[in-house]
Amino acid sequence: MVDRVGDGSGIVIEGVRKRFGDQVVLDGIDLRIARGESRVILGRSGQGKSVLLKLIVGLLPADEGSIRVDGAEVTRMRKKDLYVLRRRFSMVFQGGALFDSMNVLDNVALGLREHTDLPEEEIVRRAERALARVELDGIGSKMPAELSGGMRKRASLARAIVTEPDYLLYDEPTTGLDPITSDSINRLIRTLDDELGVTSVVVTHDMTSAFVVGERFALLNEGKVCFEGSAEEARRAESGAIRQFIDGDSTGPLDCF
Amino acid sequence: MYLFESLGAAFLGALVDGGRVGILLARIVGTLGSIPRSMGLILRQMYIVGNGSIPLVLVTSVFTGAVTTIQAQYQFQDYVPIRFLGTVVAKSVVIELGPVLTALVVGARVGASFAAELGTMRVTEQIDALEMMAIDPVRYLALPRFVAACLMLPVLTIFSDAIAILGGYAVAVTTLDVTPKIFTDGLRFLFDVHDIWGGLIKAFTFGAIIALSGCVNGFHARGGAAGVGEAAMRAVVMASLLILITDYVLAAVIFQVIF
Repeated sequence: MVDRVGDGSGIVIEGVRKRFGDQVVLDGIDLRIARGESRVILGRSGQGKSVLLKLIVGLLPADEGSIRVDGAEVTRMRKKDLYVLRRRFSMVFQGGALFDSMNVLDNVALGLREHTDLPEEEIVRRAERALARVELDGIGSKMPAELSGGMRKRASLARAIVTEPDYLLYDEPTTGLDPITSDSINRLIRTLDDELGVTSVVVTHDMTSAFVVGERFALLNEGKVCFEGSAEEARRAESGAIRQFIDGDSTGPLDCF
Repeated sequence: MYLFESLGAAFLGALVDGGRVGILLARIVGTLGSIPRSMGLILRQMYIVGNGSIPLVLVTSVFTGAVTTIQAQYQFQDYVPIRFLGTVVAKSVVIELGPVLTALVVGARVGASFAAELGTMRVTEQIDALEMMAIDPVRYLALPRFVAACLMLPVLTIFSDAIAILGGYAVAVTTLDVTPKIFTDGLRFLFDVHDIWGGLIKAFTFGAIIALSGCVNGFHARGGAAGVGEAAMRAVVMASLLILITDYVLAAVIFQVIF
């Protein structure tokens, strides 16, 4: 089990607004994500889901509102403190974001090499163990360009878990993958969540994925949270935005343009 | 009206670029303490900037020396004694042509490569991934490139000076009816080690300009392949302009104030 840092209250987002130029992306978001929870953030493309992930770790500054991680206010943090905070986080980016100038093993090992004093053999051992965990044994010497889309995602997942973070953020983990590879990624996320006891936030518009990996859902629309509840509540909803989203219906409360 | 609008836009663009370069330079200076732990990254960039540029600098320098010699001889005609040929070639190469032409060709090669590489890393979220892993992209990406360019430009300039003078010598003795002794006596005449130092100070500064232009435009690249292409182009334009402007400023400071 990972150490609890701060007051262990998880991620608390209050009244967060973010705009790019004239375009309001987030218009007063309130969300609480408890420690150990697996939260799925749903929403149509361009509804600011990825922006919200980046705000949580200070990769983008919020225009207004408060974001606290275990009690620490992210929006007012200096760079140095943000780096300390981010060492407890890992993110799996949409395209994998593997460093294409280094091989897969070096990608996975980079965080350990930069932030720990572990001997090189131990670093390699841990990196190989992380790769084995995502079923990529023995491909450490390959370059990212030689991998398929699904393998890149898994390598990215290995890079995320090797540092044993408290929080794992996933940005569209199944986008661009075939249904079978998607399912293997979803199951992997679920297993890692259960085994590592991390708090995970998964941004997706893939409902199959959402039901496999998520315990609680939040649906973003027009910059606001328009549904929040457990996976079971979402499944049983008979009407409203969440029902429309699950059914993939272009008519309903969610605007379509 | 259109003229004023575009002039205004260009002026504002230059201000923004200037600000970005200043901020990046300040942040690089702030990470200079991490040089010892970044030695591996620095050596790799030194290899790319230095060894990789040798063929280009070699060809540029041979022809620079050759053309300087031929045109100096043409301008001398009957007014200046030919024994000054070596002097003029050496002085112009060491003070001006070696550092500036090396910086321009290496700036195009390395500036574009820095901007394209960092730009691709930006648009594929690799720089966000570094940030996310609590690794400062300025320390990890910009510092090694900056240090490597600042150190390798003077080295390449010394190489360029030597090759250009050799090129000039070869042209003078083979085609211009100048004896080796006359040319080499000319080289020694009025030789001043300050000239070499002045050229190397220029080269060091140009190295910084090349790295900053490449890194600033790479870090600020936006929007896919077209954005990366534009970043590379802007890096080369920025580096070339700044090299030529700074060359004037340095000439005034080094040769009129310091030496």
